[in-house]
Amino acid sequence: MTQTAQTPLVVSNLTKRFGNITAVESLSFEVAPNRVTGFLGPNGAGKTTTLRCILGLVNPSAGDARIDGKSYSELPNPTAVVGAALEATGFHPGRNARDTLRIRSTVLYGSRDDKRITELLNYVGLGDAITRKVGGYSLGMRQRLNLAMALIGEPRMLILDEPGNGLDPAGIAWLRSFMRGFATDGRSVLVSSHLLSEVKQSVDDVVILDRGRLVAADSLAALLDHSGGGTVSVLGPELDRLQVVIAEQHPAATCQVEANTPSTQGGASANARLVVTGLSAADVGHLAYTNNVELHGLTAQDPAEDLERLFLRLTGNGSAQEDSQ
Amino acid sequence: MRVLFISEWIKTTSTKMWWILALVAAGFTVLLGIVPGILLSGLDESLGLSDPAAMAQLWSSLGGALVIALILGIVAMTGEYRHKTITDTFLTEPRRLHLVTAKAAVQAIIGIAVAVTCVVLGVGAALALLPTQTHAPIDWALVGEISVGVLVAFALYAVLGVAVGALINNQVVAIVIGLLWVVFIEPIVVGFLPDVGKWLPGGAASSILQGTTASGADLLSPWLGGLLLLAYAAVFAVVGAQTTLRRDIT
Ligand SMILES: Nc1ncnc2c1ncn2[C@@H]1O[C@H](COP(=O)(O)OP(=O)(O)O)[C@@H](O)[C@H]1O
Ligand SMILES: [Mg+2]
Repeated sequence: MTQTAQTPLVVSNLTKRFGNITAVESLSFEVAPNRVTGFLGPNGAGKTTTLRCILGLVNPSAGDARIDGKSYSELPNPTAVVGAALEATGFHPGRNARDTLRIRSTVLYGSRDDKRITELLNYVGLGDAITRKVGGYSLGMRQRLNLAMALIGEPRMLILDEPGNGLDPAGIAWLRSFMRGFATDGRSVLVSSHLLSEVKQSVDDVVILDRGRLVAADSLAALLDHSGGGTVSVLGPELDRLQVVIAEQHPAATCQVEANTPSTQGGASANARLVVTGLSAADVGHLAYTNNVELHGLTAQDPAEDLERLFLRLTGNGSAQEDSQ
Repeated sequence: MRVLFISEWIKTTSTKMWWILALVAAGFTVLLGIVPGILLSGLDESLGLSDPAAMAQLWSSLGGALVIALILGIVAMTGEYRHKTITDTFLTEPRRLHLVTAKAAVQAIIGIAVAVTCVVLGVGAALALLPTQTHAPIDWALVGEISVGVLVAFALYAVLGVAVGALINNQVVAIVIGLLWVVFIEPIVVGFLPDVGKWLPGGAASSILQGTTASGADLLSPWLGGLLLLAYAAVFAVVGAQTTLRRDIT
């Protein structure tokens, strides 16, 4: 049990079938304290199903999820331990935000605790809409109320399901820094998204899911390392010759010719670029210089772009699943 | 349990549904029970309110909107599924039976509030209209007794409604089945098989509504009727909490 004391959430061999659809298959991962864990995968990968299994809302076909060593329903006052903001959660349209929060704060604190509610609604940016009926809220405002519901119990762990949906860019930026700030003092965040780009600035660890199966679980830094130790993009008229030279002198490096700005018709060299993985820009420049290869451009690629490439590769090009919701 | 009760109380009183149903029930009682009961007596001597039995019949129509109490309970439970608030509800309190119990307790009180609305407006309408007819004197003891019966029956039907909603989560399906049962199935059973009918919820409710005064051979005692209704509600609630309320919420 010492292990669970350090690991707030342990998912073990979780499987969920809906009829003959296997939504999640033998999934195991952990969420560590002081970390923001990104739970990533294309639409239909099984993220929401997994999160709902963790929270006792969906019955696993096999396996389980333990929070501090207990199942969700075994936790006394669970919303004081885990705060969850899930997709497909609803609010009564005729109820205002304050009453919506009072329903939970009463159970948590034995009183409505309106002062706490007002502070919290101000904090999530709903200070002007406290007594407005939720039916008139925009999607972004509902997301904020969803977050307030998750936070009202001052939990140690947050589970957020696609929290960026419906938020404006300022809201997303706010959410990122909020998650970073939350995952301190032993607290942790598990945040799902189908867009790596949306969470990559704020996550420490990533768990990547595709068609219900785990494809990667690692720290973001380690994943970046594995994604090739740097990628360099090269432009020039002699890319074929450069490719031969690289293959001879650095067999571990990989080269790939990619179409470059297809709209521009500026000769053969402008139509293609060589993407070299496993070498630094300095390595490639040195090779070109010593072998008299003419270069027109040499750029180290944004590591984030590498990660995006890796994400798409791991999840078998997610867009194919885009509609299977 | 106490805090869960207060939470459910806030849940119900923060939306309009309960007083809309209270107004519907009172409208039903006044416009379809009391008003025609008095005015029709002026048209036909055989309905004459100078007969104390006809007056007793008039007062018993104060409980005519009982089915609304059932719907009140059904709506309280199934509304959670309809508005998808059930996710947050079970996150707050994962123990299904605790939730249903707290909800039933709150709806019992709301059921009493609906009953009070019906009784007050019903008696008020009667007092306003009775002077237009010749009628037997008002037996206030009887009115009081029937009113207490109405309050108890409404409370228990609201509890039963919550339990039915725990068993059938789809709001429309639960209401349609509830209405079919109350309006068609039960009257037929009561009519043809009174010995069976008195053990059904409707028969149990009649035993409470008619109080001790009119308790005939084909009804249970009010106490037994009340316990029977609670037993129905308990069975539905426990079965619902173990089955339907444990299904996947996606
Ligand atoms: N209630 C359900 N009945 C049948 N299939 C479902 C149900 N809920 C989810 N699924 C299926 O499970 C798979 C995973 O869905 P979901 O967990 O919502 O994915 P994600 O959140 O990653 O987009 C999808 O194929 C979806 O169609
Ligand atoms: Mg989802």
